[in-house]
Amino acid sequence: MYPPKFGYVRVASLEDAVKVLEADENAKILAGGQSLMPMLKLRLIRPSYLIDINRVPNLSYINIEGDKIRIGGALVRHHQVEINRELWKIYPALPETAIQIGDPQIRNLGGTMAGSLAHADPAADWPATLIALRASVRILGPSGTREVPVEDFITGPFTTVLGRGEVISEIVIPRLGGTVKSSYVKLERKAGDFAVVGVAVMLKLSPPDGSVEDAGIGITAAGGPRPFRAREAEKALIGRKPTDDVIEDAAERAMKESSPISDIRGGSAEYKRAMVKVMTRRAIKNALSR
Amino acid sequence: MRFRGDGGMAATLKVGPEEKVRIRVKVNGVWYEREVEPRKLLVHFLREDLGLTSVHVGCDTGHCGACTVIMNGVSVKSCQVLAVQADGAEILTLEGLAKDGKLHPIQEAFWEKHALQCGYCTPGFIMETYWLLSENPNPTEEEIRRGGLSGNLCRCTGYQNIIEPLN
Ligand SMILES: Cc1cc2nc3c(=O)[nH]c(=O)nc-3n(C[C@H](O)[C@H](O)[C@H](O)COP(=O)(O)OP(=O)(O)OC[C@H]3O[C@@H](n4cnc5c(N)ncnc54)[C@H](O)[C@@H]3O)c2cc1C
Ligand code: FES
Ligand code: FES
Repeated sequence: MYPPKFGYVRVASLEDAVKVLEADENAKILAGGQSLMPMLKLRLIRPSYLIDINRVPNLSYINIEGDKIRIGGALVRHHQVEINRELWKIYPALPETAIQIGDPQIRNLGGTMAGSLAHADPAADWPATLIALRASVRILGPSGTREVPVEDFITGPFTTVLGRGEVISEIVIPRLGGTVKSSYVKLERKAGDFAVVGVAVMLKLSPPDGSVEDAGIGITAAGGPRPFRAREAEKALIGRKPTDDVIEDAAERAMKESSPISDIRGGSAEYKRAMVKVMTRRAIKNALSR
Repeated sequence: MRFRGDGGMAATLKVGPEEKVRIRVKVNGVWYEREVEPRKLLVHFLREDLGLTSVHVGCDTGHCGACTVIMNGVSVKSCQVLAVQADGAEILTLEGLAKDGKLHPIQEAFWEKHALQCGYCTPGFIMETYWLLSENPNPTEEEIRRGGLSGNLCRCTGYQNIIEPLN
């Protein structure tokens, strides 16, 4: 298969990418290309120009600061997150998500966290984890920068709040102090596939009795049109000790909050709903076991 | 057509949809300069422009790994990369593995253990194995199956004989 004809612009800065995008609404950013290439070959999109940002310097940093983690500059590849030892200690859910995306060739030089968010596949893995960790997306546009929580960033299947001329410049993850545990579990039909259901959990425990002080739960592939935050399930955990009964209650609520649709990737809506419960339970237990 | 003036790769570049762009790529140790359309995929560049037909097209959607090559030290699926993105890059294909008429040890091992039936997937598997061993010289079987070779599909062997030579 051959992609349709398009022009090619190689830019030296994200600001230049913004300028091209502002002037031409049919131009598209080329990051890892792992979603773009299949869409081009299947002729699902026909951009006028691809704006290659891969040679822009300083776009692949993971900055770990006292109160936040900045994953940035739009070119942080899945593989980079996977091999970051600090992240395995702070928020293991992050590398654990990376390692479950596609396969090594997709993660290596290719797929980026920013590209995955911008592409907004309803079964993508990153949104679940980033929602659980209460991350936000920094957006660079013609009139400066703005920050939007990941939860609000994705508005539907393959649609986001990105406006004309806007690009993702950074993903910001707040760091909670104290004892924080996290995990991402994914149910897939076969290795490297998109999720049937994916659940990410973040738990902050209070030291004296191990009760849950704060909780974040993000779920992908089961929210109907977009990934969602399971608020009721979070509430079921907060202020309680995470006993089996409490975990069961939270998992049950996550299932009730979900609204999956039947599709070829994951099977029937009924099956997926049941799996939301199972995966939520597993994610919580897995996080606690760390 | 516009391109770098100094022999290196241009940091910025603009090519129209009807134009071609001159790229310079080092493949299996040799620099090649060619003009390509922006939409040309790396896999087609390697096969059609350079005649390196070990690089197979299986699925063409990024799933099967038959088109795997090493680009700047890491494995990529060449059907997922534009030729113009490889401008200035170093690429290794299966043709570049054998030295002085002697097969590469990975090729030897695949031969020895009969790690193929039709052979269509083999170049991709060998190149991915090459990358895996460069990252991790002693992978466990779990690391080979789940991490290393999970992006390569084989429709014939049932994988047992492909895992064998790595062990
Ligand atoms: C075989 C295969 C298996 C996969 N499996 C999974 C999986 O299991 N889970 C999963 O989550 N994903 C999976 N993916 C998708 C993969 O994670 C992609 O890498 C990701 O969705 C897109 O990232 P990218 O950098 O490749 O983006 P690209 O393909 O380059 O771009 C995707 C879209 O985002 C836009 N874009 C990119 N960067 C920016 C930016 N900074 N600002 C604004 N817009 C931008 C582009 O214009 C384009 O519209 C798979 C892909 C393949 C080919
Ligand atoms: S042909 Fe490239 S992955 Fe299948
Ligand atoms: S040997 Fe036939 S596809 Fe692998």
